[in-house]
Amino acid sequence: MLKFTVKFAHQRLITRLVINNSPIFLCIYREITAYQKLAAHRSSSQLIAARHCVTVTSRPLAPPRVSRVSLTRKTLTTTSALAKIPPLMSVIPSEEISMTNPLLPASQPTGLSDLLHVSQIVLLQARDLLFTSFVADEQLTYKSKLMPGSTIGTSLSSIGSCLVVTLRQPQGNIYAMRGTTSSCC
Amino acid sequence: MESSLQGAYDALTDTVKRLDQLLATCSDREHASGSVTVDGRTLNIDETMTLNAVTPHMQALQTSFGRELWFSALHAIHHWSMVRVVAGELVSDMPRFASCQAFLIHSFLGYSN
Repeated sequence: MLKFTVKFAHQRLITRLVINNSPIFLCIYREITAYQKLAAHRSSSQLIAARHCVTVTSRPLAPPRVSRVSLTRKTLTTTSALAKIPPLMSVIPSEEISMTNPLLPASQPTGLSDLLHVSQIVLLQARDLLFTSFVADEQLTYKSKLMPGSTIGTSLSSIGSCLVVTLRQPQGNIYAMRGTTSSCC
Repeated sequence: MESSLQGAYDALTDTVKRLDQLLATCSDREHASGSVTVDGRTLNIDETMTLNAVTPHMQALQTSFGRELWFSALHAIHHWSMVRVVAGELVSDMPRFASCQAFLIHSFLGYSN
């Protein structure tokens, strides 16, 4: 169980994040605020990657040496914590990310088999519903009044095609496909 | 699949069986890794894929096998929720359905935390 402690000092300019009683992260409060402003203009994937990096950046806790000059800088790229953000996480193998991420408990390993198992259970949920609750084919093509254009059948087939395309790869070309039907949203 | 109960049931069963086959060939050497054999080809969890998304503009994005698989399961819950809404208009007594992954794992596999 991870224990988080956030301490504020120096007129709330310094934030210390302590995990399991050992400080791993030191940043300037102002930088976080500037980061949040910048985040509004970034794409979601960059935001997630940036947030991830900021969260897990491991840095030995040194005595704060914060000058007023650095705190008044407005350019985010010149501030120390965010200037060192590594490239997007997608270039790092999942295995390495999980090993270097102190926030992911190593006692709960997750591999591809877990992912496949969860997908299976999710599908079985729908199959059980079909078996137990529906009695006529017309129920699959009934057009919803709350969600115009949507039917039970389109939702089922959307997920079916989504998974099938991912799992059945043609030789020589690995691809996935989304949004091929108008109901897939 | 869209208009036949039997067709939908069979299609879902086929995909579940397909996942069973993949699970049989799946090797997890260490955590956050693993590979399966798809049509005689070994796919790693980080295998690069090209995503062709039409929403409605044509987008081609680089992604990975594990990420797409994860998205498919997550996206399924979204559609199950939609099914639940439509089914609620038809069937008065709906069983527990459209539970998220975390709840499913908690319920089916008995994880305690």
